[in-house]
Amino acid sequence: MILLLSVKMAWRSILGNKIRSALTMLGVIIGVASVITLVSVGQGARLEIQQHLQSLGSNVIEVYSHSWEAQFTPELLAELKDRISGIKHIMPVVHVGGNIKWRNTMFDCSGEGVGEDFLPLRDLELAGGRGFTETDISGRGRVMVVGSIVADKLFRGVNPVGQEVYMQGQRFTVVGVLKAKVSSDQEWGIDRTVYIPYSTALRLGGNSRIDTINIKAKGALESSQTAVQLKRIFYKLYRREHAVHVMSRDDMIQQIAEMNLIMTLMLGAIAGISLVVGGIGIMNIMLVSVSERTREIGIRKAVGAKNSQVLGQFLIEAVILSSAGGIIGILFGSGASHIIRHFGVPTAVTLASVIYSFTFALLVGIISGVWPAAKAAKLNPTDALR
Amino acid sequence: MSTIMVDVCSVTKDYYIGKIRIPALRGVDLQITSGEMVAIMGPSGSGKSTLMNILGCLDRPSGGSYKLHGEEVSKKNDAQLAEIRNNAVGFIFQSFNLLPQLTALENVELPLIYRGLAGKNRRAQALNALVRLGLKERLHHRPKELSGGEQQRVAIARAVAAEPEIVLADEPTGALDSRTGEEILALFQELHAQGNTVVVVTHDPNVAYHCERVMYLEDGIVVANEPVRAKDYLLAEEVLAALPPTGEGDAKA
Repeated sequence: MILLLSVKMAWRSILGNKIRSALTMLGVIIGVASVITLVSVGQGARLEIQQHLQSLGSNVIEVYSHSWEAQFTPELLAELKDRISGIKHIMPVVHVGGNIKWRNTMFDCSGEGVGEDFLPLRDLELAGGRGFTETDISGRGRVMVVGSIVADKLFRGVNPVGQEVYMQGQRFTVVGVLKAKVSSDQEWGIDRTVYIPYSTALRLGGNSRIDTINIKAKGALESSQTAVQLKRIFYKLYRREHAVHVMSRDDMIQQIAEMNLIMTLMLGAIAGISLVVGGIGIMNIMLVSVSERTREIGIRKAVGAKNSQVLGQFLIEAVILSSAGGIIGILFGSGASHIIRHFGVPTAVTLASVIYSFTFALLVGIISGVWPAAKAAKLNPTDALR
Repeated sequence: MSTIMVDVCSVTKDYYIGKIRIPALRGVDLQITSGEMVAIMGPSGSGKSTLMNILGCLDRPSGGSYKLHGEEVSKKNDAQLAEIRNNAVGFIFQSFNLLPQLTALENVELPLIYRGLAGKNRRAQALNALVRLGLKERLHHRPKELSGGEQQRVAIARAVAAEPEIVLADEPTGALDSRTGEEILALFQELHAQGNTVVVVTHDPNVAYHCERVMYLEDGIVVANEPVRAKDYLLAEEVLAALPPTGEGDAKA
């Protein structure tokens, strides 16, 4: 009964001063919405990295050249495969500029020159056609295998196998189409890539060289052993520590974990700041409104309100405003993260960010609403009315 | 039926500005019997409003004893005082002190809400008080939409709706023009005629003339306390004229 009346009175008071109520809620809305949006961006990036990691084959080691003296040759690759028993597949990778043209339509994608083992090495599967043969590689064949998104978006229903496309002015015949590897439609990534023989790719660029080696180890254990052996061999070969960069999947996972941690900390800090700023906004309005409302408190006490009754009203008011603001903030934040996703940045709203920011805003709202009111309620009615 | 309603015995009240003690009341003795209508007069700074606040339990005395209806009030805690304000006292302010966001009816309901009266009863009681004060047409107006006289009538309705033992009015006509003031005074006389105990603080001799007894305060002490003789309108002014010139006391009102 008393509670119901307090709710009624708080409600009247909120409606009776719409601007003040709106400003108070605004602080909560901004705080909650910004936290949810920021964290959703961070979470989206994290999920995307995870997806990328999954798209790489398992037990893959990547070797990059970091200097001109570190030139990888097919002979070197063959020697490595002989000397290291843990290697299952090894191939050179040559990155090529990725625009391709089919029937006067240009299409933006990334391109890689790879060896004949690229399908098992990258854990890729064909949806149609074939991969590369030894003859394709040795004969610098003008053949191409396209990713699923390329097949869908460029060829639009036409079977790409057998079609002729142009890449850097050279004519290629599509011989294979890959199955989709990652579900989402990304601007970059594995499904938006075209593959050609690395020997052909070396010819395309004129001065292209093999700067990357992909290796697939026989198993997880062999993977780390192979990485160690590779490092040792390359050190002997070039007498330098950083001429070549060997990165196993374990290394990548570790690096990504570190990156995730940094990103989490950074986003957490930004989110924390926006919550604090929002909180200060709430406190500001609440403090001002309470000193404004000392007279109201005086009147209520003069007609017989007990301190607890005055406080109850202010508490309920603060709860209503903060939680309404919090809910609107959640809606705004989710909406903003949805809009950002439309612009191509991956986002994912997390339950934790919703719960934490809502709780925080509620607490700040209640404390900053009730604490000054408690001070005002302790005044004599005469002092409050003055 | 002449029980003593208000029994004030050597009540003092000090204010502090920093560490400087400023006595506002310096030992006030006063008795008001039930059903009486008393005026408290005095120049500004004489302590009449301070005394009124103590009578209305809006403030505590610094010393002395104050018994309201036989109960010692000066020792009560905040919650008990709130209950006394709610049940026993109807206080009317010079500046009305209505809550601006509430309608007339809701303002009158306010003390009844804090008393814990249930919805229907409460509404009926508030409605009744407003109708008695001639505000039947103004129930759902906010204070801003009412004239000064109407606002004061709402404030009076709020004070009497709770059927208090004593009605206290601090300069009730101070913010009103003289005609509206007369109307408000007539209302107080009506309340008195219905058997209510009424205390009015005023500096207007005309207001005092409508009362049964006038008490003069000066510099925090009662300097005169006499009955108003029927139709003896000049008395108030005579007594006022006989008082020593004001200005030496700096006591806060």
